Amino acid sequence: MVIGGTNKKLTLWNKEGVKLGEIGEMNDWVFSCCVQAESNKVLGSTNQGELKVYDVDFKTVHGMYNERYAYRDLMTDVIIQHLVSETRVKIRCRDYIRRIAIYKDRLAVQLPEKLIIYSVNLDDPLDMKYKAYKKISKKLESEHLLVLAHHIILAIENKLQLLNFNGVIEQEWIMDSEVRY
Amino acid sequence: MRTKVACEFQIPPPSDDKFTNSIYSVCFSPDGMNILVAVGDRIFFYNAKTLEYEDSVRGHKGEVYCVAFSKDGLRFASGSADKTVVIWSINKEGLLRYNHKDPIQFLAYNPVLNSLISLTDGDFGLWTLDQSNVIKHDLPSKGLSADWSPDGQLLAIGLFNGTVLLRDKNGGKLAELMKSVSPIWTVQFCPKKFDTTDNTLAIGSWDEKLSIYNIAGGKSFTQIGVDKKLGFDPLSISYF
Repeated sequence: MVIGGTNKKLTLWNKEGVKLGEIGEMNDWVFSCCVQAESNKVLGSTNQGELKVYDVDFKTVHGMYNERYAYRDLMTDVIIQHLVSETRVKIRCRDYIRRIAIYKDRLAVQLPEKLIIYSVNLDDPLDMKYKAYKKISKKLESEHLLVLAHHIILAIENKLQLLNFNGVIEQEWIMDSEVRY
Repeated sequence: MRTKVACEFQIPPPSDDKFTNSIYSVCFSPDGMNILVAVGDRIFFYNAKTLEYEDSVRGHKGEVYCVAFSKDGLRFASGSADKTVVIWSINKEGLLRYNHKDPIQFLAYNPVLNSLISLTDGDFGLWTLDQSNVIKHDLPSKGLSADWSPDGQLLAIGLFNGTVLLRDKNGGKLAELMKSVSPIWTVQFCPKKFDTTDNTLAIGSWDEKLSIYNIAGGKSFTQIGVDKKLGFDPLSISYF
């Protein structure tokens, strides 16, 4: 949902009241706001005669490894699909999910203030019982996220960082240009 | 999430001292093509994609405080400081005008039955298609905001004294939710139901709080989580 108020902003919240982000700022109190869900437009109006229409682009946040596909649903849930057995599980993170990465038995979910690594039983190829395994309570600024058996890799502009699950940087590579993929 | 301003428009301050350029109320037409804007004593139509001016109508002697579009897209309504509600056809012809004793604070169309609630300081009115007269019910405090549940069966009314009234589709009493001592400036039902048959109601009160409730049938309600401190006073809520 979108809330307009005396902070002169339009902000986005999920249905449980978790703040997801800011849509935009206006010139005065936002008296009225309106969402057009089909076209992802948000309209706001103010005490000082300003009208603004925002286009909101909810990017697809997802990850895939072999037969496992994980994606963000409703901004705060992760859905993991096993494409062979066609089973799916949902993890409620109750916070805005920024990025998702999946690898073998690991699943990493990046939230605004922390990163959570989930794991399943590696010996059972159909196991979908993801349990929280490690938590890195750090605000990580990264454009890309990869998870490995015991590490995560972050890409920040022209840097690649290898972190262990305690959040300590073990290796860093500096590239000549921005890491895009 | 990425956002960008698709278009913007600044309404200049009017030359007439009687009015300001405050925009108290806006809404999209159900097809998403137009935007309805209440400014001064007029209702303006803008193109939703470009914010180009398209048309305007004038039907009130005072400032227009609220506008609402019926969900079937056939009518829209305006409420004003002049204590009247005007229902307009989609062709912008006035179909009906009715009076209240006080200025009209808020309007909301029932998404299923297309009836209209009009809120004032002392009462609320329900206009329905099949009845010629508007049925009025007294309010214990100033009415500020109202919304219908997605199935059209429940009505929530936010009051100045911090109470949220739950009523049925005909305005009959169901329950009262003593939320706060501060005005309830905005109430909004979640238009989608996820893994529950209950309705989800978001309440924004002027003690900088957001509260979310599950409403089962209209008689019983439970809060989801705790009151959320916003850091500002919410004025308007709209769901995706």
